[in-house]
Amino acid sequence: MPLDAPLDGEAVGTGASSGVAVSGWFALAALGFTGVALLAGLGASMTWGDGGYWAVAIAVAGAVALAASLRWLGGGAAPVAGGMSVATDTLAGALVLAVPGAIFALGYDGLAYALGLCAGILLMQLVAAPRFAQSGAGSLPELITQRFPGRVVGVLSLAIITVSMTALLVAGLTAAGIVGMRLLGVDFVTATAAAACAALACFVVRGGHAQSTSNGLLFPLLLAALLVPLVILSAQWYGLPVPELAYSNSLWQLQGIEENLLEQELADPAFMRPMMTAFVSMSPVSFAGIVLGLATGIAVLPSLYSAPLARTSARNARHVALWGLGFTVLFLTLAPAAATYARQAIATLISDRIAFTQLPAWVFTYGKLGLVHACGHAATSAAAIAQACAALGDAGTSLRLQDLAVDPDVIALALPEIAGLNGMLMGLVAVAVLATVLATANAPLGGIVKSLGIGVDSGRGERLGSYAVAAVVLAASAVLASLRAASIIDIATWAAVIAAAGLFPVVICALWFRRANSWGAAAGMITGVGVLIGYLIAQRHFAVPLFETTAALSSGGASGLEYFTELQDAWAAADPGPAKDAAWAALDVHAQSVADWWGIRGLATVLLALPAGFLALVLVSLVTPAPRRMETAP
Amino acid sequence: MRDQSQTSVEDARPARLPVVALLLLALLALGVPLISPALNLVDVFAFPLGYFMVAQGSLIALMLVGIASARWQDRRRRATDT
Repeated sequence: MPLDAPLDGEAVGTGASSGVAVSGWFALAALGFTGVALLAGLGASMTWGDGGYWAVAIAVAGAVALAASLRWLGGGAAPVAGGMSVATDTLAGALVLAVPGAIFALGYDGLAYALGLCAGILLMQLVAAPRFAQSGAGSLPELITQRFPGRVVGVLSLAIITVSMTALLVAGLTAAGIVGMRLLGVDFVTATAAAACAALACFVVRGGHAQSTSNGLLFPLLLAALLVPLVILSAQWYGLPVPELAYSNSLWQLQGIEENLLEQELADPAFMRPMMTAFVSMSPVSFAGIVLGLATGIAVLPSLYSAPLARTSARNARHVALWGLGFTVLFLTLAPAAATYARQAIATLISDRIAFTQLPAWVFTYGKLGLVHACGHAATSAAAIAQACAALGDAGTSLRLQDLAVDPDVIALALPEIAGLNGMLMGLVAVAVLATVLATANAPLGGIVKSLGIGVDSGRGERLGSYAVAAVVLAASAVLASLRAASIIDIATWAAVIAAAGLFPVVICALWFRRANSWGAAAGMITGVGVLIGYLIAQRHFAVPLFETTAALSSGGASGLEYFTELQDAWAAADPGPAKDAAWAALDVHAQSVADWWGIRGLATVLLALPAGFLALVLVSLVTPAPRRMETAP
Repeated sequence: MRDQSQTSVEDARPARLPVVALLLLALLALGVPLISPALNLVDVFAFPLGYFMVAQGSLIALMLVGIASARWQDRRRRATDT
């Protein structure tokens, strides 16, 4: 039987209603987009044309929310439609910008993110989705509370899900804020606030039917937004309209250009991140930690466990996850091509030694938004760049590679402009990303609402309660996003890592370990998150005692220990006062660089948190009474 | 609650952990990136093999593992049905 065949027991929307929904949606998107593109082509001002793309994105997100509200696609879905929904909710708009940006910024090491996302969906297919579907639970919080009854587990899972889902929303709103800035020409805070209001409106429009497969309607738009510019570039530059293959030429050309830049002293070797050289910006341990953190986090991400995977047959859930993996792979294999083409266009710009006044318009467009910096200052104009570079002293009349800093989060959005393509293609990317962020914000909001035990299907009172919770969470997320404390990829990966450390052992044991009980689940969650947070705090704020007690596990080696001892002796010998404070500061800075276990740092801490969580869950479950029979299903 | 019609034979019996698929997942996602510098000595489709595997090859291979695992589960189910 083919993998996309109708499955036993699945609830599939009727052919006619699905056809009307899909046709209507595509007609709306195409009409709106064509209208705006025509207006822009006929000479409408840049502000009006770009503002039109913003309006189209809002309309598309609203149409998807309306489709969910009216249940045009039915409650369940065929595997293909469900898979599109899983892929769209996984990418969630934010990662559409973030993954190409990470590869652009980190080169080979940025590939860890795409690999971790795909591994996560496969892990979901293999060990979580089918058993979850068998359990009869409608959401992940419901599964946890059914399997592990008790207030402690409920509160802990609520806290972990809220933090993880809020981080996911912050990543999404950051992406929406960047797109809003570019299209509306407003500041980041205003653009983020507008996106949060639109996301709330979409959540309200969905009403009681918060979880549905309608988000999958956005996947073709997302794919087209990335694929069309890449196909055009591949055909124009290399005569091969298959980006996945054609960009190998770009990789080698980029390597040649970067070597020339080094020879001509137009690039600093310390700044280089070669695309094909592994482990330049992170250690192999960190690479593995990011892959594992994303994989285990995505496998149990509460926002993904909605209609296509809930209350269906195990086989249907498995096939939905499989199609989701296929669509995600289809999308993410394009991300390295996008990053490479952008890097090549920028490296070519540098190697051509273009004068400041001749720089392409996109430099100043994004410079005015604070997303492109030249010589350490926002690239608002040629005069501003000249002034900033003159202040550096060693800069010439053209930019060097290290002088031009493009925000990685904007690479996927700006690629059509960076590569000199039609501005309409930037509009296509913007519409796809913004509409996806707004439509998929429903999934993390639904995860938080359900973990609070509010049933949006229950009645008017609970529905209003869910709207209030969504408003508060979105407001908090918008405030956090407006701080722009980290890149989108870091925020989204932290969301997955928190879910991995706190929920992965619990969900896997809920589904596969009948002896697991509420005591063990609570211990697993506390230990997993405790190790994650405790290790990070110890590395940052208690680096000296951490290194003193665990120097044998450090990746600093004998030289690190020797230098630490020297600094410690200097601190002990220093006179009280400023000299002692300075000696302590030097000791603390060095300790922070070597206080780790086997080189584990930052996101890779999940390598410690996961086994600790599993160990605590299993041990505590085994030494406490077994759960009652009714609690151990499936 | 779940519709009773959705309950299959597979749903009613204990499931088996797909150990081989999980091992392949670990190999592709964690093992291959670690040896990619060595794999880069070979070219495939004009890409260095190590880079190609991490950028695209492992992703496609993960999908193939998913397809093979799903087909294996489906065969188990059909065998039980008959």
